[in-house]
Amino acid sequence: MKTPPCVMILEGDILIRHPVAEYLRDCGYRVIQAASTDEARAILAQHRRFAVQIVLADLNAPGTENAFALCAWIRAHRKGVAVITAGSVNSATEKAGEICKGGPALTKPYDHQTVRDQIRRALAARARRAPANKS
Amino acid sequence: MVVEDDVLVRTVIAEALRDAGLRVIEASNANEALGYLASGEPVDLIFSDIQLTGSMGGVDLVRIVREKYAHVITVLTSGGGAALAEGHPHFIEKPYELPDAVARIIGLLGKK
Repeated sequence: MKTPPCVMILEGDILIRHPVAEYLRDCGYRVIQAASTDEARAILAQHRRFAVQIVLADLNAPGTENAFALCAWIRAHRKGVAVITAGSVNSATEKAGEICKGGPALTKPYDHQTVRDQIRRALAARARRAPANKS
Repeated sequence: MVVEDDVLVRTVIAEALRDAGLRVIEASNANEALGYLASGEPVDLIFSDIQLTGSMGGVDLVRIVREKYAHVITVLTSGGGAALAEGHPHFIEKPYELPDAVARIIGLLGKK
């Protein structure tokens, strides 16, 4: 049986995090929920147990580390992990693309289908890059 | 609902419960758990660690839940706080075997 792609949702609001996690599970993804940047770091450190391929990160997520900084770190040090950022207009979502090197950025509130579509695109892009990464 | 501030523990028990066919909500602290309950979404059982980060621990969380949401079954867990759970009807000691914890929770839900 094929292992489903693993998505980590970094979101500090359970009323946002839980519904999108349920929706993505219904779409066939394995979903890990991180309520803070500290929790996200703990999951990323366990790469063999939780092979995260996509991170959907709220830029206002709580934690000792700024979510912007965490996203930038993932892009620099976890080449196989795609990052989709999300934030309100007030939190300078526009800056996310600049800081995170042009990755997809969602403006909250987002609808779940848009998240799914962005994840599909990110996984497809990852798959296209994979052969090149192996050589 | 699993209330656990260790994301690695929470993820593993939540996935085991889902694999057993349950719908699982993951809360990282007591405030998240109470916020979710206040939203009106249905919850049948809360499985909470006693030692939680934040302003409230699992014992106080369970006390409030039992006062406000009497239909919700509450189960406490802890590695060193068993004495704090004294008098509480449902307690699972850490470290627990996943199949045992899952079976206990499913058994409690089956009695509803």
